[in-house]
Amino acid sequence: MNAINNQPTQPNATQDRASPWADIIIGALLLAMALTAYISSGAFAREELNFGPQFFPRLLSCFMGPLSVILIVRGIRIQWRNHSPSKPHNVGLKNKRLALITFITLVLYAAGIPILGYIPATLMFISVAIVMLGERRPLRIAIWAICVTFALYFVFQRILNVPLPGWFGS
Amino acid sequence: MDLIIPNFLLAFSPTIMCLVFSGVALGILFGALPGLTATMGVTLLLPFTLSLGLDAQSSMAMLIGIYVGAIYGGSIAAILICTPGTPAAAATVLDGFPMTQRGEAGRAIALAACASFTGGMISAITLTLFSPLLSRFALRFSYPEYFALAIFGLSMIVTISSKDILKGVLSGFFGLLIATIGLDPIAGIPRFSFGQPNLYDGLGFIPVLIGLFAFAQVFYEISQGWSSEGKTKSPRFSLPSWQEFKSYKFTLLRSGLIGTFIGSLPGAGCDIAAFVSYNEAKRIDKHPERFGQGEPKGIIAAEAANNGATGGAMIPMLTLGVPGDAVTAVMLSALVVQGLQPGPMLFQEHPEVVYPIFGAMMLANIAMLTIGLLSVRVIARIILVDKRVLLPTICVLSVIGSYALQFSMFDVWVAITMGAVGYGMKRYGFPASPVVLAMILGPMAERNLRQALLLPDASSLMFLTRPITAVLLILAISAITFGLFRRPSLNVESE
Repeated sequence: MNAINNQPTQPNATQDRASPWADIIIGALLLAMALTAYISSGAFAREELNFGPQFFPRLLSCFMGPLSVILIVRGIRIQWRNHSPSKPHNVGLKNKRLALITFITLVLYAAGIPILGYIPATLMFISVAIVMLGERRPLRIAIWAICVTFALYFVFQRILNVPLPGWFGS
Repeated sequence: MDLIIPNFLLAFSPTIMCLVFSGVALGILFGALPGLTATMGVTLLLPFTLSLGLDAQSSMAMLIGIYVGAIYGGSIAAILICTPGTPAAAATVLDGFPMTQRGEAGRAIALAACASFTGGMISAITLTLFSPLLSRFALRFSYPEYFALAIFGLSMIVTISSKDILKGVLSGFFGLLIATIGLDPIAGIPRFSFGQPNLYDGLGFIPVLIGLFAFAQVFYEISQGWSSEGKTKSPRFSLPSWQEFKSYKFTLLRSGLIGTFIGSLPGAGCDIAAFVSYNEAKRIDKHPERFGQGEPKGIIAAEAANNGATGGAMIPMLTLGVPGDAVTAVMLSALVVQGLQPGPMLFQEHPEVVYPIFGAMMLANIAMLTIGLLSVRVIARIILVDKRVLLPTICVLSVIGSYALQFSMFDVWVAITMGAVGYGMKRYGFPASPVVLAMILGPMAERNLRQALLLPDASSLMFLTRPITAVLLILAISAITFGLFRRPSLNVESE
């Protein structure tokens, strides 16, 4: 099981932000989004209406598309000027992988709530997440998982009348 | 006046007082825990206030309590463990932690609490006096003015919240585009819903907010790792004398006013106010070399300004419907969720909501001073809570928070997806505030632009010939230009 690396990795975060490849990829995604919005707005266009439902999304796409291209071009220029391919950042990679695993666990938790119910799913999620983040004392894990799960259940289900999914989907 | 005073006094009803005090206590806790921001606190508590069935003024009173408490709470972690609990407390670290190292933690925290109170009260009084005047002026606005106002609001937050203006602008456009999902505001035709009935009402504010600010922050904290170094064990507490506090009265007044003014500029948050005020105090002082070495005036300047900015940020939010910072952007969505349209008409149509907000702002500052001074020892222990247990707890709270509004798992999936998007944005330098602001101002911009263009006297020059519209658009262009040439030291995202 992965444990958190207790060393801050701020310098690496700065390097990430400067990564031209990230800008190129994100720029391409935003360009694709702008083009998709422009084209698919034809599905709800009402040409008989002046400034109809398609007007604003298309207007936004017309700005967003060229700006995305500028981001891509800027990324390519920085990459070109550096004359060396970006090296993968190994420092802090373990923590980033852990963030990804936490995200996957969260997705499984959300998927599990309607099936297992709030209480079993939350008990499992908190226990697994605490262990993943590096806590090893079973008693502490159990106490925290039980306290948080039932405290939130009490507040939302009993006080606020929020119908949380019951045991095994009941 | 017949309406103002009775509505103002509504804030002092037992229920609202309890909500403000509990909001402040929660806010101090959120602000004091490094990694949990004021924005996250207000975001997570918003669905809670709705589930409680609170009306608009009670809900706003509690959120104001959290806001004011969190901005002060950030200074506790800054002073004790050299880690600003919120970005607003970044300037407090400079002199706060050296004071702790000298064994003067209690004095530093007490000075921070008193300075925050003074700054907060100055801004609350300014808010009470000037907001009604500004809202009366804004009653002259028509569709073109509202469109220009929306563009002005968007331009300010895009330029100031982003280190890279291109990325800030693209974040804004991303937010504007996702705000078009759902029914068209004029013709009522579904857009980008792809046959999914859950998307007919668009993406919910609260799931998006929780995703961008709570989940994204959790993933970011994990990806950055954390250090156990720098913890201060058993800090000594000794309070400053009244005489000493009185000797800082000019610094307090000046910093409170600076904070209020900067906070009232849409897009300039508490963090910027604190740094500007700190720099100003240092520039004017006879002994600038003492700043950064544990100078009490440094703490006072930063704290009076950052809490001063809280009331300042409420001014454009309430009068124009343009939030002053990321937290007020969330609070603006709280009003929208309650079925209210923020802006000048709010003063005319819902005085029972607006005037208690002024009272709640003052009450929150009194609560912050009381709780802040009484709870320092307890908070000092709590901020050492292990993130290994804290972060999973925030995840569960965020899942329930996004589910609770409509009892919908779809909203949970929206929040998780936006969490992943928000993490990517944070990691690669795209600010999240413009997305939220664009989601709020986007529909306002679209509706008013389209209706302005449908006016009988509509022309392309309309936006330049109407004086208010022209001024607002010129200000928007100036803000973008300022963003291009601004000082790097002010580039702190107010989240």
